[in-house]
Amino acid sequence: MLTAERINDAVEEYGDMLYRLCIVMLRNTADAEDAVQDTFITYMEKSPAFNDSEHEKAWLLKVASNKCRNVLRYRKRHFAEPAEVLDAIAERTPDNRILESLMELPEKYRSIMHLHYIIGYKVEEIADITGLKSSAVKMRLQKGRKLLAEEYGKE
Amino acid sequence: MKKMDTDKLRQSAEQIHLTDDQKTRIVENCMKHAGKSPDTGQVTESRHIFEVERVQSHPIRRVIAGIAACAVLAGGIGVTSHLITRSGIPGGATEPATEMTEPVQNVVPFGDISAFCFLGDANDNSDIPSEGLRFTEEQAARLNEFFASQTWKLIHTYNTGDEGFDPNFDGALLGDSAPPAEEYCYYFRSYDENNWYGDISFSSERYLEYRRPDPDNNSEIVEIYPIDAVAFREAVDAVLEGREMTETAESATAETLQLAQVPDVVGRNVDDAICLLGYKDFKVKTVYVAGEEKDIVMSSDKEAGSNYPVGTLITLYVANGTDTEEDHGYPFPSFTDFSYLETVCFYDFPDAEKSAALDELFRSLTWTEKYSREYRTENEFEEALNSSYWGDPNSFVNGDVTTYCFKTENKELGTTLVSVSPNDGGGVTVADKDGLHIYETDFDKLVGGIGEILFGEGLYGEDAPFGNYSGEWLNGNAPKMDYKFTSTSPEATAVVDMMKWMYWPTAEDGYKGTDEHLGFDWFALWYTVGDTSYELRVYDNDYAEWTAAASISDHDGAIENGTDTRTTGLRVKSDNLMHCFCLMTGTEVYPPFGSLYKIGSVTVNGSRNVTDYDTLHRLTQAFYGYNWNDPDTTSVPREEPVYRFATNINDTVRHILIYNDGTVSWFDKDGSWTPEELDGRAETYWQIGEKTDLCGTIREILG
Repeated sequence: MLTAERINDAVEEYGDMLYRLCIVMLRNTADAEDAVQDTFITYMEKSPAFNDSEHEKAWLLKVASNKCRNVLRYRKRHFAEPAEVLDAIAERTPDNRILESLMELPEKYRSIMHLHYIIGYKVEEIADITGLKSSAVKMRLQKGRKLLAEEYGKE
Repeated sequence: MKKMDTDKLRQSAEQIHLTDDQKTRIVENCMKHAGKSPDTGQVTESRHIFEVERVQSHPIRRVIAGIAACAVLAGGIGVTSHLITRSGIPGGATEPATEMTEPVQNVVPFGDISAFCFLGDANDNSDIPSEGLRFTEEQAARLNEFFASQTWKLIHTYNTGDEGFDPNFDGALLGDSAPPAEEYCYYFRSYDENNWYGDISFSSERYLEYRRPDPDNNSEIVEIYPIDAVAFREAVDAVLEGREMTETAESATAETLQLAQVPDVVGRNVDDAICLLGYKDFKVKTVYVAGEEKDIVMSSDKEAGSNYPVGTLITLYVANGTDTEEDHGYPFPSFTDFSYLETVCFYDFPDAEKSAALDELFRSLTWTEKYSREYRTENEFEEALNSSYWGDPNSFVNGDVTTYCFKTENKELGTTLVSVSPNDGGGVTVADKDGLHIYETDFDKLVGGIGEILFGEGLYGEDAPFGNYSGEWLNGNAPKMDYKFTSTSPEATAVVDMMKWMYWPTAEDGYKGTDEHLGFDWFALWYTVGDTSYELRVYDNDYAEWTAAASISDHDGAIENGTDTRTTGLRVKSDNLMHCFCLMTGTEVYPPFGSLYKIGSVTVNGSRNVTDYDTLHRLTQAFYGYNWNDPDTTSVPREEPVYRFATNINDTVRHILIYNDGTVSWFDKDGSWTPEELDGRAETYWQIGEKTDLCGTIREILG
């Protein structure tokens, strides 16, 4: 079992990153916070041995992503509007519009787009995290880009 | 995407931070959890998990909870109940199996059973007779008494028009994942000429589903009640057969009120998950699938947080430690995940032993991806079902021939459809969550191997019907339809291709062809190779005869046919084959308004309701076998029709008019109608009945 200090360090180090992913996936601050908390509980329960910090980061993203999907399975109708969510947690700027547009995309695209464009993972790395084939990740990135361009261009 | 946009996106996301309060809460709750968790004993641990204080309520959640509460008040416990129970962390819903707090009522939700005049087989493919019936007053009274003696507890309700309705829950009961044929599945239906009022279905999965129309939203309202399905079946059978109910039937709901909430076991070790589910008295089946984290539960077929009767079987999909699906050795999920199988030649469903054998067969083959693309339509499943590879690598087109079709609905893997098709020399179409893919493999070994595993002894390849056909003249004949062809046309070649790729199980000794089912005696295809003629004669009771008759030349060179004849009895899905035959030869011997006996009820001339199975069957036969492919579209004034048949399918009333001169027309019209309104509406007529006096035949059948 991990110590409070180690959990504290992990929350400091990875909390924001996980929270961003969960916000984008769940579009609900309370559920996002729940998902992050559940992720760290799993992290603490399993106390996995990691090769390095990249391994640890990818593992946490994978778990958080799965937690979000579990939430989404039975909560499809209660998305908040992206603008509403972002207004609650971040200062509104013109640049927010593109993030709002990303959050409007179907779930299967926005998580992949988030991992690629916001966190900066490569296709192969995303395939590792999500369990998808590389070809599927590429397809989703391609389609996601198209959808994002359409969504962003609406306003 | 431009770099500038990427930067904007990243900068925008980086504004999102956990607040210090949030971080503190998370760390504290982690520590609370840790402090209460023993090192061993999952059940104890789970109880403690349930006690963990959650993060503080958030305004958004309060709104959601409010909506959920309203929904519960308005419509009973629905899918929104998940929101209320969801405040526990995963695994938190682990209180022991107890009676739930949903309203329990003794009022029968669907009212008087005598309004449900039709009893049928929900799968339409089991051994249960599907004749319609009207209950006698005594039967209705006994059924009402039985239903009134039960306690009805609504555990789930949804509206199919609701954006949030849960199709998985629906499908798990009576939808796509139909129970195996030996597991009965009755339904009662309430309808009349113009309207459908509701269905009551009960299955071996321990549920009764009451489905009725929601006219305001043009959708359906569905309610789910737990029952003891075995006892219900016994009770209904006893009433219909006029005998006393057994003790089993009388104690129908003895255990049904014991509901338990499914804990979230996804992400847990399989042993822990089994322990948690067992603690709640659920039965557990484990299915190992591709997944990196060995022995970790990847998904479950029952939604966490939902309520099911104790004893319900829950299937867990557990990671087998392999990284990707390719580690199976073949490019689709393990066969044990498949829930549906259809073959062009026969229906069967593989048991565990056969599933394992299929896995082994698939692993023994080499699979090469030939083509892949994303879906092009919104209806991915339909697109997958109707897509196959046919020559042009840039497009999928409707596949004419599918030898086998498997489907899985593993939640983690999504829906995967595997279609084995001989098109373009043999390929396997895999339709999964990412799109459509074509794989090449050893097609002979694949199709023959699957056939052997599923059906046992049979003919395949060169020994099977058409296996030695190589472009000779092909002859076809189907009695009554008065249709013959003798050609080497592409259509004939397509028929032959289909036959060549089929696996033909041999029939048991003594099996004979009959004409009792589909309305045709038989149809036949034959050809010669050298001195031997070959004939396939398909009867309508899922039986075919394959005859090779060698011709022997006498010393003068004269040919005497059939002196050395070998006939093999085979099993085949006759109606499938007949439909394929019709499709490929461009003929249609089935009337376009459907088979009356399958519809189950016909109103004749606005007053007489015919539901008797034999009568409907004979009426179906009366229409079968003509060339329905060649209608007369000129509108000709005609005398009043002699017969007006009306059928009702899903609120659409279909009118079939039969005229004295043997002409038939049909059209659909909803709602009420008068005979005057009907005449003249039809725009298409089929002049089919002259030769056989169709009206006379119908008169004789109706008596």
